[in-house]
Amino acid sequence: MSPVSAYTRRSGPSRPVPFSLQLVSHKKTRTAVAAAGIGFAILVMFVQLGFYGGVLNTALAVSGRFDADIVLISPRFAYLGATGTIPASRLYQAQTQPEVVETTPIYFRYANWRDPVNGANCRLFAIGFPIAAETDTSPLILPGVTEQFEALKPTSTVLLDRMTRDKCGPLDPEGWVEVRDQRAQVVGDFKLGVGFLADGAMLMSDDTFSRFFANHPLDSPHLGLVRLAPGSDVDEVAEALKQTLPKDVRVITQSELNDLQTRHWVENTAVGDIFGMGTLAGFLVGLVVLFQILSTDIRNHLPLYATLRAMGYSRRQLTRYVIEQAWIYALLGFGPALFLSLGAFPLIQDATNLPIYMTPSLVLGILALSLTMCSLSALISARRLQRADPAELF
Amino acid sequence: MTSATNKAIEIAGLDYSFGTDETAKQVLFEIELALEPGEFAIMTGPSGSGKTTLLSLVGALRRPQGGKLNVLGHDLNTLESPELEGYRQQLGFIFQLHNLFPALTAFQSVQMAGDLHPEAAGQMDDRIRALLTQLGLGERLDYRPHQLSGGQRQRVAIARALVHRPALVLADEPTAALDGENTKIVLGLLAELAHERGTTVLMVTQDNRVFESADRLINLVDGRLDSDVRLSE
Repeated sequence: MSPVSAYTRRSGPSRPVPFSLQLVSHKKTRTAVAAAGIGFAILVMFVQLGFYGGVLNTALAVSGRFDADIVLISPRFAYLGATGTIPASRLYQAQTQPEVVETTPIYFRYANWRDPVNGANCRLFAIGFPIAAETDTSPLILPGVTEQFEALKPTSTVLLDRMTRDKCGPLDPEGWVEVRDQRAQVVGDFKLGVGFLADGAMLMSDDTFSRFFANHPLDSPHLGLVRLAPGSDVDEVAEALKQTLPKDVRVITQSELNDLQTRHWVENTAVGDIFGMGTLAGFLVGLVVLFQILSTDIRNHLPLYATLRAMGYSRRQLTRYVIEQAWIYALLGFGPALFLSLGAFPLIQDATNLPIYMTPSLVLGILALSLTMCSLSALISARRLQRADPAELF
Repeated sequence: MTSATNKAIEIAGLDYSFGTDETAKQVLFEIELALEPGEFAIMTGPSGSGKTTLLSLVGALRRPQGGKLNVLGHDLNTLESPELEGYRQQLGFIFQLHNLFPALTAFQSVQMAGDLHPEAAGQMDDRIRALLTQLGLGERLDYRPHQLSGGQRQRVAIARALVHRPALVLADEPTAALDGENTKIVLGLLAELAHERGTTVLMVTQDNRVFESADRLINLVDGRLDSDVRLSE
């Protein structure tokens, strides 16, 4: 008995031949190799853009958590790691605006940190702020910090970011460490994650900050946070403060501070460029790999494409088939690359404590980038179709 | 561009050269020829006589350089895309080589031609199945080219050229790879298309078995029309 053909079971109007899918799926080994090459390129883009996202997360790790509407900064402010100082008196002056309900001086510095047990040296970002008054609350929106203010009141006590690199400790059971060669005790923790900014972060009272940093004068904070009454027009108050305060401070809104931070990390540091270039490298690798596959395939099938041209297929239709093949390859590579990235991101995060997250926007962004990469490759490859000359067929 | 004429093919003073300037080699000289709808014409001639060049000109695979060439109401001297593709879709090409995509089954190869005619989508599956069955491939609809013999592949290519019921079939040695029985089937199909559906057939062949099916025998020698004999008369 002869085998029953798949086509004898058909009924109704015929569906167009899934031509592109047929071409891609015909040689399974070649397709698997191609998908692996493209998947690798997409994986590179995932990791590089993941790190790039880590840079953006770093930029906003601290400033994005300020409990403020307006920020007073020094005219020398570059980013949170190089702030300059402002006169504390400007904060009092700011309080003369009726909409201002609270001002808070903040102190920042990088600090050398040493664990005396394992001798590990780290560079931590120290953040100081007033905690003496009953009304004082954490100037950073971080769960559980205000509740630990009592523990921070003795000088030389700090709260340590749980996202600090493991090697920094503290290994001592009572939490003793050295900050700038002075004994300090870790009395609690919080969760922040400062990414590329430092190995970790610590919070402390302004008094402790002053003690660690050579009696840094408390009347010279590095930043002033200004909180407004609910419903206030932030831009209007900021404008009023600009008119009121002398030029030794700059008045910016919280979102303007975030923009400054982002611009610094993306434009003024090499990190943004490095990961941007890494992404571009992945893009180019994928482009070249797919170009090789598609252009070889077109070259091998040139008389067959010429036959389609003779039958009445337009060059545009044939180009569309090449683009469809490229998209199939893109999707075949994207799936495994996403799967591997989902596994790799937590491992990278654990190993580096960098704020790298797989977000829907990253997934969609890489998908769009992959489709663009493959479409470009297809368009370049499809130029070979011009050589498919039906006149050569007879 | 279309022009009003009742001829399927109307050729007047057609010249054609390969190359340009001093290197140019003229292969067709002042060809005059007219074919009626439904005529089955065979073109013969020694190698290099210009048969296939003439075939490719009629198929709009090459652009005429001099003279007049009207086919199916189209002036091929001025035909541009997308009308060019529309014109080619009215034709059925049978080449010496089958040129089948290795990834496509026999059914899909034929369907590639059918897909260009969405107006016939409702009946195309049935038509493909019937045609392949008529050509002795009913049991091999889902076979790929590597699973078929040379003759079977050629029959798939013939089905691909005929499935959309073209107004003009241009064939270059279509029976060369076929045995006697299959040659008879293919010629029967072409004759049926010509005489019952008004399809014009212009076939280049040296195969004597074909002559009895044809209405006209055209002979080209050195790029010139040497003879044009009506066989049915």
